[in-house]
This record gives sequence, C-alpha cells and structure tokens, in this order.
Amino acid sequence: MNHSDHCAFQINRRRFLGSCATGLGAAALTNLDAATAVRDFAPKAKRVIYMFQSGAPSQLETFDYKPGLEQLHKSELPDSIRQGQRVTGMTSGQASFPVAASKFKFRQHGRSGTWISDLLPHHGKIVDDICIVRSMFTEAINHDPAITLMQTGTQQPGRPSFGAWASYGLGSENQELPAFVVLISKGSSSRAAQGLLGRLWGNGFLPPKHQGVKLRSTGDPVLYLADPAGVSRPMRRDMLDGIGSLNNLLHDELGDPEINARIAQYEMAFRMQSSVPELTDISKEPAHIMDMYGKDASRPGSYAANCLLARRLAERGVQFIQLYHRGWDQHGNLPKDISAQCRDVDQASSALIKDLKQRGLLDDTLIVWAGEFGRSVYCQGKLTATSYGRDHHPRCFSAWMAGGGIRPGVVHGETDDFSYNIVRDGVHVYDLQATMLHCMGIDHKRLTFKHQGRDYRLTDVHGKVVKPLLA
Amino acid sequence: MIERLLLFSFTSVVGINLAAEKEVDFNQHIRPILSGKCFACHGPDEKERKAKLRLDMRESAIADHGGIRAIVPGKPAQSELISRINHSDPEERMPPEDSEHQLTATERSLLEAWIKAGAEYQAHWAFVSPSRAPLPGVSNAEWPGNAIDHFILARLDREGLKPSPPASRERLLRRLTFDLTGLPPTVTEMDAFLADTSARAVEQVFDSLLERRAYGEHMAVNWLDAARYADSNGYNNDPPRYNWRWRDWAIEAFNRNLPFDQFLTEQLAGDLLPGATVEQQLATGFNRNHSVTTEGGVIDEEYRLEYVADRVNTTATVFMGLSMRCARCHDHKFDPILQKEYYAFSAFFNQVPEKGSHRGLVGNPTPVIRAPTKAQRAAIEKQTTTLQALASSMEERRLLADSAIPAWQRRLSDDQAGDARIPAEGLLHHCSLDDGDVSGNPQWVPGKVGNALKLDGKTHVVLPAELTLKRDQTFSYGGWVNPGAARPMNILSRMNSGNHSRGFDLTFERGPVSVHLIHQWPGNGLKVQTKAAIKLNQWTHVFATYDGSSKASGVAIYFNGVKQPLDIEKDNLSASIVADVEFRIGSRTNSIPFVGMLDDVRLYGSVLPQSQVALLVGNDLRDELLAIPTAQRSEAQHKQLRDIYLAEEDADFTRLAVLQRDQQAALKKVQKAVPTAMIMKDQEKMRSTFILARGEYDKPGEKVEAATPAAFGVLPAGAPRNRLGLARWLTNPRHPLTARVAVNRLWYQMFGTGIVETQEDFGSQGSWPSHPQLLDWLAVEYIESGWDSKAMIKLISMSATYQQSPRSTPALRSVDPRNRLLARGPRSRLSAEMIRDHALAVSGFLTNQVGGPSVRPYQPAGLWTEVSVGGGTVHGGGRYIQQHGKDLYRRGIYTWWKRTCPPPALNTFDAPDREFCTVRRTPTNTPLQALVMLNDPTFVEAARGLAQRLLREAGTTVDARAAFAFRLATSRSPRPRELAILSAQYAKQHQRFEANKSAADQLLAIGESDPTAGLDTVELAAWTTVASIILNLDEAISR
Repeated sequence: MNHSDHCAFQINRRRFLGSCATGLGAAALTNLDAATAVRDFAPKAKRVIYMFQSGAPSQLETFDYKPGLEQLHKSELPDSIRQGQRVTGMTSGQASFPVAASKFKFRQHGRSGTWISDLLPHHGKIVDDICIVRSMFTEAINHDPAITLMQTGTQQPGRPSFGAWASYGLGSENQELPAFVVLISKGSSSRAAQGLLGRLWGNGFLPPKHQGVKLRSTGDPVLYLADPAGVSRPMRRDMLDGIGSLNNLLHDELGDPEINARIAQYEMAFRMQSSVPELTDISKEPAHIMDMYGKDASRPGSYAANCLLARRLAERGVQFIQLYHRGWDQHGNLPKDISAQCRDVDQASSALIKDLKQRGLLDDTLIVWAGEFGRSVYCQGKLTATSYGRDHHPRCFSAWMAGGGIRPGVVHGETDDFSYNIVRDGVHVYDLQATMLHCMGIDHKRLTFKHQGRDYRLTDVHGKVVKPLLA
Repeated sequence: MIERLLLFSFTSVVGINLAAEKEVDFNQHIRPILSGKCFACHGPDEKERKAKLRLDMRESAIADHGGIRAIVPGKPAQSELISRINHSDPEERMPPEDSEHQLTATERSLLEAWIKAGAEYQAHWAFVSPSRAPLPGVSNAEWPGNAIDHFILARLDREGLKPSPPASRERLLRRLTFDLTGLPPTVTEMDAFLADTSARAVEQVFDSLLERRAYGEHMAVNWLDAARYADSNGYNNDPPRYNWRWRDWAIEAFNRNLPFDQFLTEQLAGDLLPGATVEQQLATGFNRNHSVTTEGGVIDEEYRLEYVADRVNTTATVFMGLSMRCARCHDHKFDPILQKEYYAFSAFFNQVPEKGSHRGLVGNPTPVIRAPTKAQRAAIEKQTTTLQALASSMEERRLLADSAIPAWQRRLSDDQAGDARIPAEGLLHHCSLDDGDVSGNPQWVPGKVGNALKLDGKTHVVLPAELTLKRDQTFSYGGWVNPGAARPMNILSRMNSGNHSRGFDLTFERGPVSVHLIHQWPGNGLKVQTKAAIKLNQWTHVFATYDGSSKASGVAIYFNGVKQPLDIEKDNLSASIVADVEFRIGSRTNSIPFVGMLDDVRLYGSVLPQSQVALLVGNDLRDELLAIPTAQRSEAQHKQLRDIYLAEEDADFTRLAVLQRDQQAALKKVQKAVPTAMIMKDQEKMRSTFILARGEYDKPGEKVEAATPAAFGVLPAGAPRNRLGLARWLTNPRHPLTARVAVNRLWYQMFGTGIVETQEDFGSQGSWPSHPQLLDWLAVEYIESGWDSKAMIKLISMSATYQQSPRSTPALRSVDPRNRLLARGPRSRLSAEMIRDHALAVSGFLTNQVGGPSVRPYQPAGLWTEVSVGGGTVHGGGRYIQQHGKDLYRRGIYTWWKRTCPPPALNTFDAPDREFCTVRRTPTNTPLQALVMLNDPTFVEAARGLAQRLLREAGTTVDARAAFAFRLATSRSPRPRELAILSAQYAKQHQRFEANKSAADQLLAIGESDPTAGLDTVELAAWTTVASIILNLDEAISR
C-alpha cells in the first residue's frame, strides 16, 4: 500500500493527515474509505494502560469477598449453583466438586468500605480511586480462546488486537515512539506460566504497522535498536546522510513518494535510538518514586519495573500501553502461588495509580486490571488443610478500572454466595471493550475496518457501554 | 461478461463522479450501495430481513407489497425506495438513523438515476463464467506487445493517458529476476544480458529464469501464506510441528509447472485420486496446515469443528476469493451463501479421522503418512533390491529342501520329546508363573505347566523394564489363558493410556483376543482381533507373533497352536510404540485387569513359526507331520514340514536368514528416518454434518449432505460427493471464480496489486476490477492453455505494460496515484523474504539448497521464552536453539515459523504470523524496518560479506569497488554523483576506523562467518559501512 498516495486521496480525513507525515503508528491507511470516523466525542482518556493478568487470577482470593463459604468449606457444590455448567477437561472427570473457601482474610478499605483480600494491602490504599467490577464474564473456558477474546474480540485467531485498533483509530501522539507498546513480566508462581501469543498484540487484518512493539527487558529494548558494535553515533549519522542523499537522487529520478517516506522512516529510527534508551533509563527516578513502586522496580523485566515504564510511556504520549503479567493459572498449590503473584503486582499497581495521580495524568489515562476469566469455587485436585486448586471459571471474574472516564470508588456487579453466577449487573468482555473505547472517545460501533467484504470491529456485533462505570 | 464500456475516469473507481457518467452500471455503481447499506436488512439473510423486502433480487424489489412498491422501474417518483431515502422525517428515512451506513447525496442520486433508467439488475460480475471479449481497438497499434497491452492501452486512451517508455534494460532484468526467482541478477547475468541486443534477449532470459529451482522457492512463499504453513502447532502451547515435506511438495509443484487444475486437485483431494501416490497424498497437507490445540482441558469437538471451519475458510478464500465465514453463523449478508450451504460445503472437510484436542502432543498430528525424500527413496529401493535377491536365494534352498526331506525323515529314527525342543533361541523372557513376587493378592494354583497364577482383578506381574518392544522389531508373546469373567481383560501389555494409549498388548475381548500396537490412538496404530472366541473358565494357549512391518498383516494370533482368522480394525501405524510405563502381565496401566488364571507366559524376539508355537502348546508338529504319509500331506502341511527342516538342518538357509534379518534391519533404519507429513483423509464411517446454530459446536440442528453453494453451480454429473468431486467442480472451466482468482494472484505477484485489489474478496463487497475485460480474457486464456502458470507468467512478463519504466510524474500521480491504470511500470518494495535473500545473495553467503527441514538462523535471544508456556520448559521446543554454518544462510522460506512468535525480521517486513490464511500482504514503511536493515546481525554480516567480495573481486580503486557493490545491490551501475557520495563515505569511515582499530574488529566480529578472510581490518570495516549504506538504499530493497 502506497503510503503517501493514501494521504493524498484521503484529504478529507484531517486527523490522518498529521500522522501520514510521520508513518510510525500512522493511522488507518488501507480501506480508509470504509473505515469510519474516530474520536466520536471528546475523549476522557488520551491513553490506556492495560495491565493484563495472564493465566486468570482467582476472584475469590482477591476482590470477590464470600464470607459465607467458610461454613460451606469442603461441602459439595450444589447442583442448583452449577446448573450443568460445562467444565474443562481437567476437572470434568472429578468425582466431586467440594467448595474451597478462601484461605485469606478480607478487610474493608477506604471511604467506600470496599472488601479487599489481605493479599492486596496496597490496593486498599487506592480503593477510592478505582472502580472494581465483580461481575465480569466470558464464554471461553480455556486460556487461548479466553485471552484471545479479551484482547481481540473473538475466541479464534485472526482479528486485530485492542492496541492495534487503538493505533489504527488514533495514530500516535509521539513521533519518536510507537503508538502501541507491549511489556511482559514473568510471575513468581511456581507453576509453568501459560503461553502468550503474538496475536494478542498482532495487527490481524489491519496494516502491520499497527502491531504492538515489545519493549523488552533483556537485549535491545526494541528489537535491533542498538547500533552494531563498532559503529558509533557519528558514524551512524554519516551513514544515514549517505543513505538519505542517495535516496533523494533516486526520488528525483523516479518521483516515487514512497522513497521520501522511507527517508523519513530512517530519520525516525535514528531518533528512536535516543528516545527509547532515554525512556527505559530509570536511573534518574528519585528514590521516593522507586520506593513507591517497591524494590522489584529496579529489577528490569519485573511487573513493578514495567509499571514504572508504563508511567514513563504515558508521560511521553504513547497511546496504548499493554502489560502482561504471567503466572496466574493456579490449578493447584493456590495459596502459596497466588500469594507470590499478588506480591508481584500489589504495590506496583497501586503505585502506578498514585504516581499518575500526583502528576495529573490519572484523569486522562485509562487503567484496566484484568485476567481472561475467573476461578472455580470448587476445588481442583485435593482439598487439604493447607492447600487447594481452582479450575477455570468463565461465569464470573473480577477486574478493576481507573482513571480517564471511570467513576472512582465504586464496586459494580455482584455474584452469588459461591462466586459462581452473576446475580446483578453482568459485564461481558465485549461490554468492557465497548466501555474502554468509549472512554477513549470512540464509539465501538463506528471504529471499523473492511476486510473480505465485511466491516469488522473490535466488539464484533456485541458490546454495550456500561454507563454506571463512567464518571 | 462485462459488455458495458467503462466510461468513468479512474477516480470513479474510488469516488463516483456522476457528471462524467451518463449511464449507471448496476454492478459497478448500484450493487455496492445496496450491498453495503441495504442488504443487511433487505438482503439474502431471511432471519434479519425487515418488512419482508429484499433488494438483492429484482422481482422482490419491484413486487407489490400491499400497494407499496419499493422500486417502480422508470419511475423514481413512484418508488418507495426513493421516497424513503429522501424522507424528511428521520423516523421514516432509510437507512435508519442509528445505522452505521448512511447514504451520501451522490449515492441517492445514483439510485434515482438507476431507477429512472429502468432499474435493471445484473448478476454479480464475478459469479458469471468469464468469456473472452474481442481485443479493444487502441490509439497506437505499434505499442501492444500482446493482448494484455490492448486492454491496458484502450483504458489509457479513454483517460487521455499515454504509456511510459520501456524500462532501462538494467531495471527490466532486475524486475524479471526478482519476480521470477525472488533473487537479484548476478554480475555475469547482467553483463550477458546487456551485451545481448538481439530481439529475443528478453525472452531467452525469461525462459532461463523459469527453469531455475529458485522459481519454485519464490512462488511458494506466497502459497505458504495462503496455506498458513508453519513449523508449530499454534494456539496456547504452540509446540513444534515438522510438516516441511509439504513445503517441499509446493516448491517442486511450482518448479515442474504442475497445471493449476491439478495443483488444486492434488491439494484438495490428492488422497482420493485413484492409485494416489505418496506425492499426491503429501499435497493434501494444504488443508492440514491449520493450527491445532494441545492445551489441556479443551473440549474436543469444539476444536475439531474449528479445524473444519478453517479448511472451509481457507479453501473458499484461496481458490474462490470468497469469504464464507459469515455464513457459519447466519446466511451471508452480501453474497449468495446460505448458512445451510456453508455447512453443506463444510461436510467435505468434516471427514478427517482426527480429534480436536491433541493434549501434550509435540510433532505432526495424525493422520500422517511417511513421506521419504528423494535420497531416502533411493536408499530404500537399493535395500529392497538386495532383499529380493536374498529372498530368491532362500527360495532356491527351499526347492532343494523338498528333495532332501525324504532322506531326512529316514534319518530321524528316534523321536525326541516335544518339550526338549521348545525354542530357546530368541527367548527374551519366560514367566513360568509358578511362584514369585507379584503385586496384589496372588494365588498359586495348579496350572497347565506347574502352577498357574490366579488373578482377582487387583493383581498383576511386572516384567523387567528393559524389555522394550519396538514396532520395527520382530517379536512374539503369549501363554496359557483361562478367563474368569466375560469382560475386556488384559493378558499382557506395556501401554500408556495417558499418552494416547501408546504401546502394545494382548487382550481378551469378551471372547475374541486382540493385539494393539499403538503410537497415538486412534490416528496412528493397528488393531487386529480374532474372529473366533476362547471359552470362559477353560485353558487356551493364546500366542501372538509380529514381523516388524508396522502392518496389521504382520500380526498372527494362535489358539492352541492354530492360526486364527483375524479382523483388521485399524491399520495405520507409522511411529513408535515404545511406552514409558510398566510392562505388565494381567493389567493395562490403569485399566481392564485380568480375572482368571494365567500360566507360562513367554516373550520372544522373533516371529515364532507355527511349528514352534505348536511346540509351546505341547503338540510336536514335526512328528505329527512326519507321521502323515508324504502323499497325504496337504500343501500347507508340506510347507510347515519344510520350514522345520530348513530351520533344523540347512545351515546355508539359516545363514541367508541371518543376512536377510540384517538387511531388513538396515532397511528399517533408513525407513525410521523418513519424515512424516500431515495428510487429508476421509474416515471410513462418514461423520454426519449439521447446521450449527450461531456456529456453536454444541447446537447441532438440521443434518446436511456435502454440496456446493447453489449460486455457483452443482457438482458435475458423475463427480463423487467428496473432496475430489469438489475439486472437479472448482476446476470446471465454467466455474466463475477459480481461474479469475488464480490469474489475479499471478498478476498481484508481478504488479504488486491484483486487477481485483481485494484478492481475498471477489464477492459483491470486493473491489471493482481495474480492467474487468482483461481479467476475463486472462482467465479464459489460462483455462484454454491447460492452466499453464508459467505460460501465464510469461504472457504478463512479455507485455509492454509490464516492461514499462516505473518513472512517474506529478501529473500522472495526481490522476493515478496508485498506478492502477498502469501508465507506468510496476515498482514495489521487496517482500520480507526477498529482502533477506537479496542481502545473502549479494554478500555471497546464500546457501543453495532447495527443500528440507526448516532452519533457525540468528534471532535475538529470549524471544520465544518470554512468551512460551513455562518459559519454554514444557511442550518441547519452547526455546529457540540457533543453528550454525550453512543453515544460517538459507533463503527466508526455510526459516522456522513459530506461529505465536513469527521470525522477527520477516515479521517487521510485513510477513504474517500464519495463524490463518493470508492471500495478500500489506506492505508498510516503518522505522522498525530501518532498524532491522541497519542492525540485525544478518544484515550487518551481509554487509561485511559484500565488502569482502568487493575487495576481492572489484579491482583496486575506491570507485571500482563502490561501483561493484552498488551494482550488485541495485542491478545498475552508479552515476558519478552517486559514486562520489559513496567514495566520500568510504574516506570518512576509513579515517574513523583508522583512529579506532578496535571498533573495526568489533564490527567485523558480528556474525559467525570468517570475520576478516585475511583482509585488512580497517579497510574491510570501512567498506562494511559503505556496503551497509548500499544495502539500505530504497533501490536495493525495491524491484
């Protein structure tokens, strides 16, 4: 697709013009005539930090307080609750489904008096800034389809990821950084973490430039960012000048605007080589900030370090910042492993909210903390005095949101006494997506891309904005 | 079929200019409006239809609906449609206020003009068989080189445009060489071509390029995207898969110019062709290249149906340019495909003997075949010939034996007790079951030979772990059996029920006795079962033998020494049966324990002949046979006796038998190395196919039979109702889509954009062809040429259109920015693979090896582990182990493709992840690409290689050296200004490295090839930076 030509014939699309000049994260160039308007209304959130908890954290040990379960501990889950719900092949052969109460205590926090598990003490301090949704639900019962639904709007591979849609719809505010950045951290759980999939930050059928760019903690932070050993910056500058002059001569001969675009991309690459190291260099962060995020923050690749980087990315105008923290798949040995996972994320998640707030960035940054589904109230494997496990559970799970456009200090939705079924205000994955786009100023029904004859959108044919979550 | 002349200017293709057009064309103007804005509620989908009005069919649109007619032909004022689209009341106006698809003023006037002109409908152009239009007249009869040019020039004439002059010969050679082989021309080739001024020079170069094996490699890249080929199984765990023999097939198919109709047929249904060869079965891997899940706990049927849906989607997209996906959940909203028809179509692909869940699997999911490479096939043939020679020598010994038997009989005066001759040779294990340590509650009771073991269902004997039986070994086992219950009970086994029942066994099946040899049940294993039953509570000697052939025919079962007729229930064993569990008598790992008595169990490492089995039973066959007078022995008895004689008396025969065994072992070794390939197969008992409500696996509705969507015609008369019939239907010359889509793909590969830009969608929502009559002409030409792809590519390459200069002017760009009219030659960035191959080729590193397993060249550390399950510690192959030597320098098509983490440099240059079918890559231009070209070790090393070459091959002056490298990378000589820039760069960088020699050493140390090759390091480093500049030029990554 010829980049500049598109700019030429899409002159009515004011918003795209600016980004066409720069290319990186430039919006929606193919099928533009079919793509619809973006930013349908003034956005509350200019950017998103999506803290994805891969593997699916248990709601029962975090945000969904069920004190009544202590009495029912070890008793069989009533059929009236299970209602023939399909379970995964991992527990479908189990002879019994005994209720496992949370081993962990809950207490009330904040002005709202919200119940939060003792595994998340730092969350207690931000509870009045966030909106907890206890009534998330999905249809998928396995990791691959569930995480794919959360991140691309369908259970099967093939669609663009949330961040790619955002990049396509909004372009980039920063000329020197990608619009969509991905950060991955490994959890402290002892169990093998579930896989992450390139498609989760892939472009699907959108132009490949909308693919998320991984910011890595080992090697080059962005692939191939560093000059080769032995090549100094002045040397590289000279080389780029040489490439530029020769490309200019070619452009004079052929008149192909693509050549000019390439010259611009090489210049931007050169600038990225300074702007990315500057971004990832946290050595100048003051001690009180480092303390706020916790001691992990100085360990590259940790969740805490990624939260700190997320703030720095937000400050620099990166539009979609996607974190993945791995290791939440507690089929067994749950008490020990979930404690470790919660330690990984508690302080840093809380610090990020506080840090954004003190910098005035919370109001226009949307934060989402969620996994791909919930965990079962019944025990998977052996229920002992000290340990238990929980299988996948699609019918309810907890998530929280904060910042741009979100009503702080509320709890939305309610599950039954077993945290099995939703009894009030269910929020489907599609509704979450619609609501997130809404906060970004986008009508989820209007952000579309025509592919194989059909106008596709992130929320497919579903989704409704959940008004009570909005400020 | 498109008779109407297109009077629009080019801009009308993207934005309608009503003033320029007197006549409204239904297909070009009206269908896109109705389809995009009205059909969702007034189209083919009955469930969504509002007001019972459908606008996709004229008779319904003009019908009287209770006094109201949506369309009154010729009378817009009386047409409800017009009044509703212009209605002042938003409640009444169409489309409804909340619709995302509102009409523009232009569209409203177009609809009005169309109704006024009579509201004629046309069938969608792509759904009517193509026919050849006469070549249009052109303004300049000299210009056209062939038919293509008539169509192109006629269109340019209408637009008042002129074609461009021919491209320079340098550029033409580069374009041709890249378009046909994916590689740049060499210096020798450039020199030869420039020196050859004959009229046939271009054609000769063309013909020689088409004969290169690089042609097939280049053509296959696109095909691998379409076929979603990858080296991993996809989904969450994404373990490795080894299906590269299919890729070999594809490369080879392009190289031997397999006619496209056969190319299609073999890939869709090669297994169903009469006498299908291995190669033809291999081809069907096309529809097995999809992902399969190995995630624990998934629901089997849900995923199996995903694979079926993937095959439907891929087949429809690749061969018909249609998306059928919409119709999985409901009737298609735009194209004539009902939901019922979708499922009828899916029935063709619903017959594979497979499961949805491949939990824990690493490697190729079944069904598979063994697909030897050429070298392996030759070795196998050689061994087979040797074995045949041995067999005939042994046959000679048999003939001699016939005459020796009478004398032998006379010699045998004394008989020996049967027991003494119970075979000891080859006895691997003997379990007398007289006493000993047995887990459970053993009871020792008098048996057939001494004591017997009485089992209560909680008792079993564990045999030594080192007793491993392999499928390529001969073996025999069995003993005395006295079943005490009429249910399935295991006599002996080493079988892992937790791993798809891998292993072997001998099992009492409520009467009959079975043997299983299993790699992965049910896709890869064999099972035979006796027709006869043994009696409950009674002793029977049950013994099985196996000849190491992996075939059901190689298994025999004896009851009391008598060979039993068998039913073959499964016969597709092709991989290991070695199971890492206990070898037990009396129980499978965790199931069907034996209740009753067992005695004297023996295990041999050879195939015991019947005579020896009989000895175990206590019948001395030899004496029995000898007792029968010669004339009264049956043929079978004679043979049995002869075998006994040969074994006991003929040393030559025994020596030959040993040789035979060794040769067979050697053969098996070769055979063992033979890779497998995933294939399509229809299971014997056909699965029923159902309409699934909303596409959900657990909501089956009406049952459907395999059929094609009615709008595109039914299966040809006499065609089987299976994939082969489907292939015949697709390759029927009257099929409206197959040839059009195929030639459009070739056009796309040569010009960078198809005549129909939406290569993936020829349906009513697809883009309008830039040259409809040309597309149809080419489609008919293709069919009539016998679907000759090389001929089609030649036709395109030899056209004046293709050979034009790519130079454009501001004026031309403003009329036709994307070069859809082709008033200039094509120019586009190289594909991801070509960029890699180009750098390797000009650096001299490229490994010339066609085909074979995928390779793992340089890749930044940790890319796989940061996303793999458990950080790459589980599900095999989660860590990227880089290879070395020549494997670092293979063409991009051979790079290992992990779906959840595709090769990063290729991915940066727009290669897809191959999780699903992709028929068109979208080229982009990003800074990340610059970083790859400048900093990826592959390209840094290539720059050094190019520098080494210029120092060795290009004389001694700076200018000569710079010119050499520039020419290699751009296929033309530099102009003085260009040379000046390069020389200045060299001087400057040389100075820098002179001042910092260790920097030079560091730069040269990148990559695993010899860093300096004996050259001066400062000079080499300086040239490496200049070579890097050259490789990064827009011209070096364009064609």
